[in-house]
Amino acid sequence: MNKIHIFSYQTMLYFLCRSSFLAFLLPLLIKYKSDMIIVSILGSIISYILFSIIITMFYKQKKDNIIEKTDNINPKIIGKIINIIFALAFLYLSLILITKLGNFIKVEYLENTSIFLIYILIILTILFLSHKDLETISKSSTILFFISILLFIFKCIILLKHIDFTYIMPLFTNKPLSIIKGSLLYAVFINVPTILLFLIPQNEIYPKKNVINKIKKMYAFILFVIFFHTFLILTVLGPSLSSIYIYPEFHLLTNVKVLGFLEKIEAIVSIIWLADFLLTISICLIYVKTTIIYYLKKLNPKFYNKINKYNYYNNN
Amino acid sequence: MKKILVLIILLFLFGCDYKEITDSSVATIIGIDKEKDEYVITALIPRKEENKTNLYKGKGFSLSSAFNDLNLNLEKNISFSHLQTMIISDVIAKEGTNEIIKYFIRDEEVQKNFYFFVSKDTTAENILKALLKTNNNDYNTLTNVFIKHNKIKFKNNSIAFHDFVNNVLTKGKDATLHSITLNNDKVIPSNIALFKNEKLVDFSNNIIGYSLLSKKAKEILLDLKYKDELITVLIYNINVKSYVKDRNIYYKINSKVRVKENPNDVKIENDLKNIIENNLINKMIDLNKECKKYNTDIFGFENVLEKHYIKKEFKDINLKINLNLEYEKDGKYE
Repeated sequence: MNKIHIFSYQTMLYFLCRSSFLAFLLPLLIKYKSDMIIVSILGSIISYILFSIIITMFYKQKKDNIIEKTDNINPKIIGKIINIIFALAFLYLSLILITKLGNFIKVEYLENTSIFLIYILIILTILFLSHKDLETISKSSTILFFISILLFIFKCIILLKHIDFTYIMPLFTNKPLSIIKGSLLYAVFINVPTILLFLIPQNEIYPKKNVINKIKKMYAFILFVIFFHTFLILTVLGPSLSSIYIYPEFHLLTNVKVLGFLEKIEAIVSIIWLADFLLTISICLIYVKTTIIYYLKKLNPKFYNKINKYNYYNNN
Repeated sequence: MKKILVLIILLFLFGCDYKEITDSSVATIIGIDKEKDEYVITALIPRKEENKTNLYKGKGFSLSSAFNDLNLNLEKNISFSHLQTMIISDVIAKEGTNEIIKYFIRDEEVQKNFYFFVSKDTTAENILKALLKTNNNDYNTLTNVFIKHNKIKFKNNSIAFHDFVNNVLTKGKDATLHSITLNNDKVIPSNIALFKNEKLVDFSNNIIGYSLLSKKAKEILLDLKYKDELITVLIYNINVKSYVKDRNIYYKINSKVRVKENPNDVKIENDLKNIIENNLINKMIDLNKECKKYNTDIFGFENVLEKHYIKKEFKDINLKINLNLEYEKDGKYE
């Protein structure tokens, strides 16, 4: 594997968390109505602690990636089973994300287009992306990160005057146990896709100084961005309106006129959702691909060499 | 190979949901009525070729079938992407607006910030016809009529469709809409339509009380009798704040007032301030009483108390108003 810059690593983490937020966290948070702020804050704190523990544990040993490390667990069969479960789970995650992305494009952009055509286009893009290695994806995510942040700032500036703080109250309308359950689910949902990045061993990240700390700092920033999105959804749309939309983040901008004449900007601002989902699905598929190749190499080296040779000729 | 693949994908992308603006009939104002269980939809559609606006009609037992019927009467497909105003008849509003809310919330093409009105004592169709007749098919005038109404009669207190939906859905809050009616075939703004849940319960003509209690009033022009003569005062720089105290709602209103018109040159004394204060307070209290009569919490008092962890029914909530007016002389004339 070619080396990956720490910033590229951080940006991939950003997109993984964002896609998790859009696909899983938002439907969860909306159920909590005005308590979504509390769930979001508690969830962010738990997520940060959980992520810090996972990353410190995982990057204790700098050499191997997650598949190799899991495979070395004793007894060996458990490691293999865990690896297969992870691969299947990420394959399933990618399928869910493809469905969600397809549905989003169909509902918000291409209402009259066949859903199959949309799926074909998504799958072709993903196959093309996952055919490349993580280094290429990391470079794409670095570029897209700046676009995403710019759009986020733009969205914040537009929506600032529409914020209504009264929507935050009353707090703690849900039972404490339900809030804790929501916060734990928040932490789980947001941290599951981050496991994908453990495909990159710490040795492959450059510059090597303070890698864990830098990743943790970026993670804190991501949590803040996600929290701010939640805050905007609650304070601009309100708990009642946000609960009737499947994509409340998209509808944040539907009723906003920029400079008194620019309308329907939500379609442009939400274009970055495609990047969020496509990058995450591609990384999921790369994970599955790496697992298959790892075991193929181990169990049937001759067959692997044959495929590799074919691949080599094909790529050159 | 890759380039060919990209080209093939691009070929698929061309024309996805592509709609030419000249192939659509863009409806700017629509009216929804009900006749014998059937929805009647009327739409004002500007026709650039003829340089005028035409009125089209469609009928159906559901909104979808009525819009389909409307489409059949048009050469081009109807588009609501630039919908600016929707008027529903008071008959529909009394039956309930749930179906309309669901239909338009689900329609992705429609911007949800269009003006939403109720027609009073007439049908939405009649309003559109009168609008078309009195404004000589001038597209700009047609759309600006409602904006003008909003500014003058409703003190800029616009109610957009998404605001209405939000109020209907919010627990401890009821919705309101502005109403319009016909007077000698002229479209004029009328009263405030009071809703309980998604159904219209009554109209209130207390617009001043409404604009003050909803905290949206910026300035109010008030005609009143002073020393048996009619004078007009302007209440401006209105600052309305509300807070919760002793499990009740308190309003604190600070404002300036000056005499705008005094045709008979009545001598203005200090008691004018008290007369105006009492007048305004009575208007607000009357509106609150009117709302209590129908148990419609249009200012969301229940919701406000709930935010302070107080559970109290609307009928038990007391409204206390503290109004401070600062009298200012015109400056130009004595």
